[in-house]
Amino acid sequence: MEVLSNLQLGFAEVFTGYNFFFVIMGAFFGTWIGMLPGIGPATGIALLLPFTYDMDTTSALIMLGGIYFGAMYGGAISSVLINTPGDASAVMTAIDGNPLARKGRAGAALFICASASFVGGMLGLIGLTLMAVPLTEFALLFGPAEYFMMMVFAIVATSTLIEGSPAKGILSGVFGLMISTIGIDLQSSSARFTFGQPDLMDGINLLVVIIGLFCISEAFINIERFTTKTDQAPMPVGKLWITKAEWLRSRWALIRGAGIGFIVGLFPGAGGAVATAFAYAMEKRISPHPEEFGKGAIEGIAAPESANNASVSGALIPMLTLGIPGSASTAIMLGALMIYGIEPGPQLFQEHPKLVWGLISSLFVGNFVLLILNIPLIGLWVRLLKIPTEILTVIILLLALTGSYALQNSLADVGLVLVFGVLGYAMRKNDFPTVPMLLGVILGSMLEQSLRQALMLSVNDWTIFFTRPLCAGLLGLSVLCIFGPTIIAKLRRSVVGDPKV
Amino acid sequence: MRSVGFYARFSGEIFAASGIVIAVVYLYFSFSIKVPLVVDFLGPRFMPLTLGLIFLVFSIHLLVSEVRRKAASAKLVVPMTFRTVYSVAGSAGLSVFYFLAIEHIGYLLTSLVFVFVFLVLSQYGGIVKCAIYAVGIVAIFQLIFRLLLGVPLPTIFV
Repeated sequence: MEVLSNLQLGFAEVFTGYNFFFVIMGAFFGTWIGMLPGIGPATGIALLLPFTYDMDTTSALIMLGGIYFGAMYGGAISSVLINTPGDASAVMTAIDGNPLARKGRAGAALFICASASFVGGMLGLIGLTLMAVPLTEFALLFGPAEYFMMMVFAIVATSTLIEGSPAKGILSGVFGLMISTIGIDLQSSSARFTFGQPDLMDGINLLVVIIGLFCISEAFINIERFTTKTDQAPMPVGKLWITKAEWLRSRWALIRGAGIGFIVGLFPGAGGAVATAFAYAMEKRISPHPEEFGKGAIEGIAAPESANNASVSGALIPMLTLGIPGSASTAIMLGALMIYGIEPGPQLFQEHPKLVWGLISSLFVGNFVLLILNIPLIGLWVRLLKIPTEILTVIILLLALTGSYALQNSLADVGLVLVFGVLGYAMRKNDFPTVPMLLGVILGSMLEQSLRQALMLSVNDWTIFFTRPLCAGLLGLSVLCIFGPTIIAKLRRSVVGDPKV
Repeated sequence: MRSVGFYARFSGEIFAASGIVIAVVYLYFSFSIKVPLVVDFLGPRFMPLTLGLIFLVFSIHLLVSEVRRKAASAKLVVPMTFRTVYSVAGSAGLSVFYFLAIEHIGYLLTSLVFVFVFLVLSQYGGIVKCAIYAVGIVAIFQLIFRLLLGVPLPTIFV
């Protein structure tokens, strides 16, 4: 019953003032952004964040949530029509979506994408609604030591579970933590790495890091893309319907995809890309027609799309209940909360129930809005896909530069955005993930504060991190994240034999 | 097309070596953080020193593994072409121009030049087409930021 009254509070918030309008705006712009090749949900949220600066916090968060969900829907459109996924989590949809479109059934592929996104999104949201309160109550039992270990685990897990080398991930995360040490130390009032610059006394603005790392670097990557041009014209859409046989084949794939997406989304760093890959692989393994996968199998579209949208709700759980983001987009949303002056963590549900339940309810509403928007507006999305990359890139660059100036009307922020943009580009070119760095910047000061509080309470007794059961468990998981992949690889080599031999 | 051979061949090592330099510089400045007279165990230097050391260790580890990886396989990373490097470097340079010029010649003029030069360099179309698009895009930005959001954008006129 408590859940229902919470949702009632949330729905009342969604239909208050302009909030419903922001849900529609978020869903619309999110779909558009997600659809454009090279702009994923994280970049989209980062680009539009400066616009929410003067908005009411609940409205702003509702709009960002709409963009996040919409971008997940949108990613599938470019995957199906031009075989160019909007972001990593839409890659699996392209494997079967585009071949189906090549058979003249782009409409059917888009229809199953929209349906799968809706089912995945709804099931994920139900999971989020049911799990949020119990998890928050559990999280309220955490002391500073548990919080410290939880943050260490989040950074380590994000650094090592994300694609690529774990060492590069950890370097990225630690670099983010190093950036968070810039500014006045709140406990001792000592200036750290400010070099006498007044602009650095308050530390580096989080939004500057977000815009630089995600928007400017994305623009540079886009520039590379159009210098080696491989633009493809969108395919004709055709009929927006699937046959009864196809529906029967895909219905369980939708449910399985949602379950996988939701569970994978809960883990920091795993995100939509892992969830969709996992759902696709599982569906192919259990399918009675595995030979059809890669040639336009309907389950091959349904499962990853459902997993993709369910992972959004999964990733929102640690962000809302613990203040620990599970993906790049939730990291940016968490950053946004901090920029609006709201302290994330388990108290969020108690101190700002309207905000949290407003966001959750807006996602339910947004999911319906997206279903209604997606199918009739498919012709519009196809036209928007034809916007040239050059125009898109210059708009991203100008929006990022102007948006960073608008934060505090400061040119220093513009300069810093460029520095982080070039850094982000260099990192991406060298396969360094940028998400752990952002997480380090976001959690850095909280991590240091928790460490100090934990040691103060234990009178400088470091064993507190080993003797408390939850701390020890989280420490064990962190160590496993670092050394687990190497140990597994060595074990596999010893069992199967060295492939090089 | 010519490839940027040296960077493509050694980009991993260069990046890892830069990490070591960053860690050393960070550690040096961590030692120079002023510590108050009365301080508990975790003073303002503790976190930076710990992070600097972790960063140093992982940078060295990365450098060693990059060298080993290269030694083990002769396969090279897909080389970047000169056009790609030129375009990205040109755009970065243009962005730096934007940052430096906006204070002196104002948002409107800087943005017009920025968008126009960007479109010309990216060979989007003829001069007139690029100019029309530049004016259109900047006009929309002016409308959004100055009129709708009320941001006091820098102007040439006081």
